[in-house]
Amino acid sequence: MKKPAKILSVILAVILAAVSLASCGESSSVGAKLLRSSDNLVVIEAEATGGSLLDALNALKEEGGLSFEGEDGDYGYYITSVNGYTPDASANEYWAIYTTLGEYEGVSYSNAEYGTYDYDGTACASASYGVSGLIMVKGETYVLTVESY
Amino acid sequence: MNAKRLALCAVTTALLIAIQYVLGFVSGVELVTAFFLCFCYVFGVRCGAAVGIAFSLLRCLIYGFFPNVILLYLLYYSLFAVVFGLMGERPALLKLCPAIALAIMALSGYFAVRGVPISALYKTRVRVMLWVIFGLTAVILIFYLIAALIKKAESAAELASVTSAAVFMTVFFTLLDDVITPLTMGYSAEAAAGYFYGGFLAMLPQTVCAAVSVFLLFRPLKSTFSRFKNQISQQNPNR
Repeated sequence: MKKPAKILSVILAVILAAVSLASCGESSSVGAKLLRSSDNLVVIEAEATGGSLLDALNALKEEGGLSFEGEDGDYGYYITSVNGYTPDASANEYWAIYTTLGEYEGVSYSNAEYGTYDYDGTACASASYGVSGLIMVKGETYVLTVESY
Repeated sequence: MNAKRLALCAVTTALLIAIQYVLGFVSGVELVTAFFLCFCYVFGVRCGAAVGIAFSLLRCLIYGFFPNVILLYLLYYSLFAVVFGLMGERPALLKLCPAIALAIMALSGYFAVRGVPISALYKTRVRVMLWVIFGLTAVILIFYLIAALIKKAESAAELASVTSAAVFMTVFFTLLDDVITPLTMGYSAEAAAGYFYGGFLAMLPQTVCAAVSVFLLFRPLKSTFSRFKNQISQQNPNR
């Protein structure tokens, strides 16, 4: 029993290492225009297709257009603060993400059933993914706003 | 249930909440499955169900009271206690586990080949994780078959069986959530499908973690809980 258990433990360790390497995110340079940036609302328009909303936020952060903090979670990168504003957990606040990007290449990236947001006449639906799972598609709008549940 | 068992259930509930809270800061890692599984396996369905229900309700003091989450936890951890409590009480049930491992292997292989309609940014990660689960269940199955062929290797077969049941229950947790949340939130079929596929992202690392942690911790935890059980029984021979 002891020998097979040891062999299996080594196999499991190798598999876990492979998973960790595979979990590293894919990144690319992203063209994004910052339409609005305040302590409770950030609106971005994609000027090119490719990369994630997180890549766009990082690019805009480097340019000094906004600041944000977050952490990796089970569902990808989780935004904890934007432009210095950290949602009030006792008031059940959080940074919500909306987008005009609906179905793209057979995958749904938002759903109005989860919630909607209107920015200057542009109807956005609640995103199905966090900032690291939302793909940037040219012409689409992405909104980060503080909400409570 | 005597006072000592009741106290043990209370301490176990507190430990489960502490484990969930502390490891909540580490993405993809959870040890509640391994710990609670061993407890149910040793102390049976009654103690397991008591802890499962108390854990499901008391954890809300930290994470908040959301009806769909409370329903999910109450159903899941009660069933979890029944499954592993019965496995501990009736070892014959362990023989069902290779079939479960085979079913999970087939399902993960199917989704890995077919692909999952998930964000393009997560496709590679999800596919790799599905192949990992395929590989893990194949290894568990081979381990079980080798153990079954070797005489006096019952504990190895038991370990393989319990691990495959833990993998199944971890997948089942997400599947149960995929039913309860869309129903309580009133999602359409399209939104429910999106919720289902989005759940793969969290389910896959948790499943791998459950397989590895149960495989590594089952024997030491079972031995520790058994020692507690013996001490309680010796001090209360008539109960």
